[in-house]
Amino acid sequence: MMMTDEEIVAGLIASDARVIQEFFFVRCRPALSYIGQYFCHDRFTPEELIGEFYEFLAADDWRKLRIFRFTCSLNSYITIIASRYFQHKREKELLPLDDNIAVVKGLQDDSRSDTFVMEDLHKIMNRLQPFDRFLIQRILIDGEKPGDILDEAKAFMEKDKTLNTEAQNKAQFAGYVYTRYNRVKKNLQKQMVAIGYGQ
Amino acid sequence: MGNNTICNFELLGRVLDGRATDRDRKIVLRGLTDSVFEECILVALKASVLYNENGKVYETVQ
Repeated sequence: MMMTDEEIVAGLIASDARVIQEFFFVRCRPALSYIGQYFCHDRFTPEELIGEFYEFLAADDWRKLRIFRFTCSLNSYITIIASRYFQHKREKELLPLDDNIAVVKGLQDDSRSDTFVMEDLHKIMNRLQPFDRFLIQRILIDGEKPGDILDEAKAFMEKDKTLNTEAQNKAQFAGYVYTRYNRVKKNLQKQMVAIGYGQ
Repeated sequence: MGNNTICNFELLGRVLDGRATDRDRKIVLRGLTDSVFEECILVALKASVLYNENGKVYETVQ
């Protein structure tokens, strides 16, 4: 059944997992992949680009969708926002050669507090569902790409009868994993901020 | 000019939809003198025909 633009926007704002997956990883996938790879080619997979754009759009409680007045189609609205977003991302990443990289490096050198951050992170992770904990561990902490842990994720899901996805093929399953990971990561970030990090 | 226009997402969306008013078109035409704006709208124009409206043909777009 085809959903209207209004129904899709309502579903996205309500964080309906099925609408999010269908919209970002099926309907918009070709367009978002094209735009993302045009501006950031060779550096990111389509799943990473789409996942990142999903996070951007979901930011601030879906503000960009809440202010949408439907004077154009949702497809076109998303296309324009994505084009500007990835263009802006490329511009930001093109650091001039004489930029003072020590400033950026300094952000990564604060190893003294790393131990405490990891302790707090693990405390929060222990409260997550096992599958969400697995995603955070493998993608965020171990640094694996979502596309490289699909077999592990599938084996994990098969062992746990409470988990269920309607993904029909590998690409849809990848979409499910990436969307779920993004949601957990966002939740994790919120909890980290709540206990005093990042603000 | 370009930067203001580039942020008017719905106006540009109407242009992609072919539903722009004369005023919308004039704004976009004037904005094309800005190369950042031009690139943004041309990439969007190309992408706007790539939507997959039918989930069943998902495999064909991999």
